Amino acid sequence: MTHTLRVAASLAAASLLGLTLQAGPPVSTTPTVAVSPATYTMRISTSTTTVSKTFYASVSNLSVKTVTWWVNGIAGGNSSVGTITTAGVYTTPKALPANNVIKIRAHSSTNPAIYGEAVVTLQNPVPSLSTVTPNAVNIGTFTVVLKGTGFVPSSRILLGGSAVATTFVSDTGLKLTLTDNTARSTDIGVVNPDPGTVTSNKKSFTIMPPVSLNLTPATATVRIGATRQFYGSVSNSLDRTVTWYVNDVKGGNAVYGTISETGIYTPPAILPPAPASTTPATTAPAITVTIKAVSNAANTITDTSLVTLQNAIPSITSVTPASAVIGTTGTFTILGTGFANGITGRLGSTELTITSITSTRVTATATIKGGIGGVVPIGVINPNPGTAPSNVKIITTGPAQQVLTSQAASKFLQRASWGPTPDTIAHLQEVGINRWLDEQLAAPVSDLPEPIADTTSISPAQRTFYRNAIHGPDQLRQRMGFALSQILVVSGVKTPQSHQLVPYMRMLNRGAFGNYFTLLKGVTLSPTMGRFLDMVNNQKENPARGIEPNENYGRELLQLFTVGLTQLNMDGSNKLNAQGQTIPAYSEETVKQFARIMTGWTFTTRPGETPRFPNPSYYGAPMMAVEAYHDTTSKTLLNGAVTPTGRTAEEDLDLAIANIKSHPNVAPFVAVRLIQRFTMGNPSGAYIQRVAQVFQSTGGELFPTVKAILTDTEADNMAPNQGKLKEPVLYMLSMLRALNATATLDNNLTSYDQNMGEDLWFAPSVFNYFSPFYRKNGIVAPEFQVNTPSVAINRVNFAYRATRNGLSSQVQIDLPSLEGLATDPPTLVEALNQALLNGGMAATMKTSVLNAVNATTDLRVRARNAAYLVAGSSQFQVEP
Amino acid sequence: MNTRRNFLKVGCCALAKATIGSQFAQMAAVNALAQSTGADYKALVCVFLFGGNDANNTVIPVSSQYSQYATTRGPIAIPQAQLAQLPTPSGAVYGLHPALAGLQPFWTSKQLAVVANVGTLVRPTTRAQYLAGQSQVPSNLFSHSDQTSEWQTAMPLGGNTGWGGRLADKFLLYGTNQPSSFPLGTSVNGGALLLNGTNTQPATIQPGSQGIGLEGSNPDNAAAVARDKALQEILTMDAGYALVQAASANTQEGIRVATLVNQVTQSNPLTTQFPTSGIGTQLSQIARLIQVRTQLGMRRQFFFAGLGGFDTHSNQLGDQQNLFAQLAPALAAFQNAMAELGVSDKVTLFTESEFSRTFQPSAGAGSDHAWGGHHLVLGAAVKGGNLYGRYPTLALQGPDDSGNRGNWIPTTAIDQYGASLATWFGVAQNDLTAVFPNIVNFDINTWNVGFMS
Repeated sequence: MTHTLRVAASLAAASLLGLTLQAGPPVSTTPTVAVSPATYTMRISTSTTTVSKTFYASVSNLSVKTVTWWVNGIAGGNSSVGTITTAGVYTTPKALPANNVIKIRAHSSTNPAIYGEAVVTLQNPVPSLSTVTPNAVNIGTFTVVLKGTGFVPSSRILLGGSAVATTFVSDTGLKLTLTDNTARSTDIGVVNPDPGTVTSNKKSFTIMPPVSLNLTPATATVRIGATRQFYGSVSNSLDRTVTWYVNDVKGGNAVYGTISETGIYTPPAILPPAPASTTPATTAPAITVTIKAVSNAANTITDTSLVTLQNAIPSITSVTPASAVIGTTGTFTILGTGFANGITGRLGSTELTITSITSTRVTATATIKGGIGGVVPIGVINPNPGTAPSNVKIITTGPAQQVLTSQAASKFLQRASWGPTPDTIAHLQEVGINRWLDEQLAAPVSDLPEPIADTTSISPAQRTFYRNAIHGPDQLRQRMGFALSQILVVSGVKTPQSHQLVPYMRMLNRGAFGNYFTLLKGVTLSPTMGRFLDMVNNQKENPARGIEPNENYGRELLQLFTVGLTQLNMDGSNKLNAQGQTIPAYSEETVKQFARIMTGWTFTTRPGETPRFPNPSYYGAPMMAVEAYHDTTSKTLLNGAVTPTGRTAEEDLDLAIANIKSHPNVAPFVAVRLIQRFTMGNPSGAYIQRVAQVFQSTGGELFPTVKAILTDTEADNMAPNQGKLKEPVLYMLSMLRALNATATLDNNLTSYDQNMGEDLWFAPSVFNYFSPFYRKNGIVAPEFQVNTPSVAINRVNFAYRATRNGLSSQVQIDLPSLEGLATDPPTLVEALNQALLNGGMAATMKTSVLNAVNATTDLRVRARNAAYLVAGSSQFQVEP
Repeated sequence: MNTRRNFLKVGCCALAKATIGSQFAQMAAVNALAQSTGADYKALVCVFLFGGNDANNTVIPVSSQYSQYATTRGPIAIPQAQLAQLPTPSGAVYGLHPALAGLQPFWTSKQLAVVANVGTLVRPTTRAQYLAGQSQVPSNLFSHSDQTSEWQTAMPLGGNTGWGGRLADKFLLYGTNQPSSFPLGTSVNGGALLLNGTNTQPATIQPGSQGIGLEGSNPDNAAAVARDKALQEILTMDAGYALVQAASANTQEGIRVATLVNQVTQSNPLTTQFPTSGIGTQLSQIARLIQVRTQLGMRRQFFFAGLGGFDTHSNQLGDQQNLFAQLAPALAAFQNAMAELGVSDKVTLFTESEFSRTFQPSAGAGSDHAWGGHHLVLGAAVKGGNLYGRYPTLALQGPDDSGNRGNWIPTTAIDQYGASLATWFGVAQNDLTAVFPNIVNFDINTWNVGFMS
């Protein structure tokens, strides 16, 4: 629709206005009123805007120039058609009138018939959009409220430029309700129609896919005592908030745990009960809770996480008491956090008996065993689900009372047993040396396995030897038996079977605290020795067959078992003649005479067989005499002693042993060799003499002799050039015992002695593994004879394997306890110092070991490496 | 394999400890040592065939006596056509066991000799003397343990040092290997009585892939590196006790040798491939040690290797075939490796075995413990392509039989066999009786059998 504003104006009026006064047509004198502008177009007003226009009336040819203003014939107008002031200011109405063409007239005040007129055409207002709420919606049916100005009932909302159904609320508000399933980014605006059609500014508007919710982590394992943050990520919504639930309880509860408004889950103080299982479970069922997040934008939108609950990592803050008496039952109170029902614990390698549990306090008891170096770690372990150990605390273990320091006890046990163990140190500290020796005298003898058949390999017996050495109570007896086996040598090189060696070794062990000469008779009549040194089936001279008595046993009996080649002083030194030369103890003729004494013996007749000479081999009993083969003539023995003729084989043997017993060499000879096996390779003459005198005065009693060896002051106060390298068997055993090893009967230790030069019971010859005279750098040190550089490496490598429990599963040190100590490196190193070096580790060595320990945080590696360095050190390999 | 790592490990520790100056000094010392020991080198390698190798089926007469052989050996006779021919300068032809045919080229190139009918003897002994008990004979003939021991000690009435060990004692006195502290004797087959001396002990090295050094060394593991560093520190600190220092010195020497061996052999692997059998691995280890002889400062070395299972009381043909099939390629590889190292004329390998076996078979197609047997000597210093000593008359109750089953009385004593090798090795003539005390019972003109150049 177009509106025309018509203005009537006379030429005269125009002249009167004086706009142009010039000569021309004649001036009119007709009175007129003219309104300007004569036509005008205006927007209507709104509730927030007022649209006005000033009109001017020009009165001509009248004296009174004033006018009155009318709108559509209404003086001053009204709200429907607009109002006009006396000054001609016209204000549009707030709604479009039915006829949008408005006539504004100015009537002469004095002559109302005279008027001028202006025609005003009204138009809709210009819409303006200020807010769109919301400006993003999800697909489907949605309602949007638009705020702004200039809206009219005929306004239409434009969505992406297209008009959509619009609800008019007011001239400042529109509403849109729409179903739209096309997600997109678009814009929104408003158009007002004609008259004066016009489009508003636009606002961006998004139609999004449906709301979604993703809860992370989707699964989680949370320990009691810890918390876990969960995240509910809401997409396609302006409202990204969620509401949290635990097992469908908003915010959770004390049984299953709580969750904060920000998604932090806190498990309950104790594990909730496990779900009932319908089938027998082989493992504990998992205990789970469900965390749920609900979108606040759309409460049908949810997501869940499955949380597996585990016991806490227990943490110990204190343990009382901090020390315990070995052999007693200790009661410990353990304070800390996170202790779960079903908690277990260990004191070193000993299982704790738990007597009460709260989450912060556990009480437990244990039988106290000595810890390596007198210390032992205590710790607890929460059960499954999520079994986890605690930190450890260190308990010191020791005797109730002590008469010896642990270092003194340790040193003594180094020579009197297969090496100290934590328990034996404590025991010796408590009872003292004399009582300990008495106990050893009375201790039951650890036996070797009975050979089942003549084909039984020696291996089971060798393994039993090692098991006995590690665990047997008769330590000193075993040491003595082994020492004797290296003086009164037989070797599996010649008699490798169990039935050949076991009876012999049993005899030595059983006779270890008896009389040397009694033992010597048993040795002489042993079929094993008989076979080894050819006394079995030795017979008197038989000129017809060119047979001479075999000298082998007679020679070694004198040279290696009793007297030795040269005459000795009581202090072990050689007697010298006037020329300063050594003096032979006997002659070749004496050997021949002893060879004749040792005739007439054969294997005992096998059960059920007929005796003969020689009998077939039989190791089940001492050799038997067959007198017809015994040389019954008189023999001249040591120091010119002459035996009567006509004596039986056994009578002659007794005479021979008595003759040897009377020789002054035997005491220093045996004393030196026994001292070498127990304390040092290079004793002083005074030490030898003290021991020899005991041997002599007791007639060869071994227990007083070994007591003298072990308790001699020199053994406790060695000079820097005294001592001994631990022979391989002792090296292995003392290392394992110091580290609280356990060994079973199928241990494989005998495969290691071999590559260190001491193949158990398989000495290369009657001269033993090493000579009592062997010197290293001028110092008598027999064991060095087998300690070649490559053997030295094997020894260190033995320590490597032993300290990582890599020997075999049948021989295991208490590595777990060392791991426990490894949380505190100085404690670990000091424990090893006490256990392996009698507390004598030099500060420089400690520093070196500590540096190696501190190179890793792995407790097991720390424990292994520290133990390796100390156990493999020459400081451990050598006594003192 | 951790051998290279051992080397790297010790190398790094040495570097950490030593000043630059002393590093150069050490290198200079090693070079001087190497130069001074380069030319004068000899090594003996004993391969002991444990169990008693049946020599009657090892070297077989072809040009004469084959029919006696075939007749008596019957079920365990090897067909003549299968034998590897060993022609001798005298025209006599022998046959080598077919599984040893791989050694025949060394016969042709005159690097392989046979010494016939070697065994333990107190003195020369005839059948008549033996049967009449008129000649002292070794103790416990036919006993594995005693004869194994006597072959190694060359002391037929018993002894506890080996002839190789006594040889080492002499060379210790000569100072030949000075200033090296590495033992002259090395066993790669466990304890070896042969090499036990009074004043010297052999090194015992475990052959094989485990290396010969410290276990667990690993330059890529910080904790292991720190541990080995601490070990070195502890080994070198003064503990104040002489024997602690002595033990540490031994360990350091062991590490030094292991490092040296691993270092040189890793950086210069031999082209020669050894079989992976036990004997192959042992001889490979010996070759590696010979390879580092100058770095070890060695002028004389005596090695001991072994192969067991020759106690063929039954299934003689099959068992010996299997054993020789291991032995021959290992020996051939060893000889090739010596050529590769340029020392084939400086290294002589020889066999020992505690006894041979009865010529007459036993029930079960086997043979029983006997006495003298034939042995192989291999090396460019050997006057090869010939048979030395006297091959026995293959007759039961014949002149060489000590009984009635073909127990050949040795016609060359182990003392003479060993003395021939020891003489080549360079022992002083007037020390021979100390090394072989029993040899005085033999005509001095027969002490050297003559198979060594």
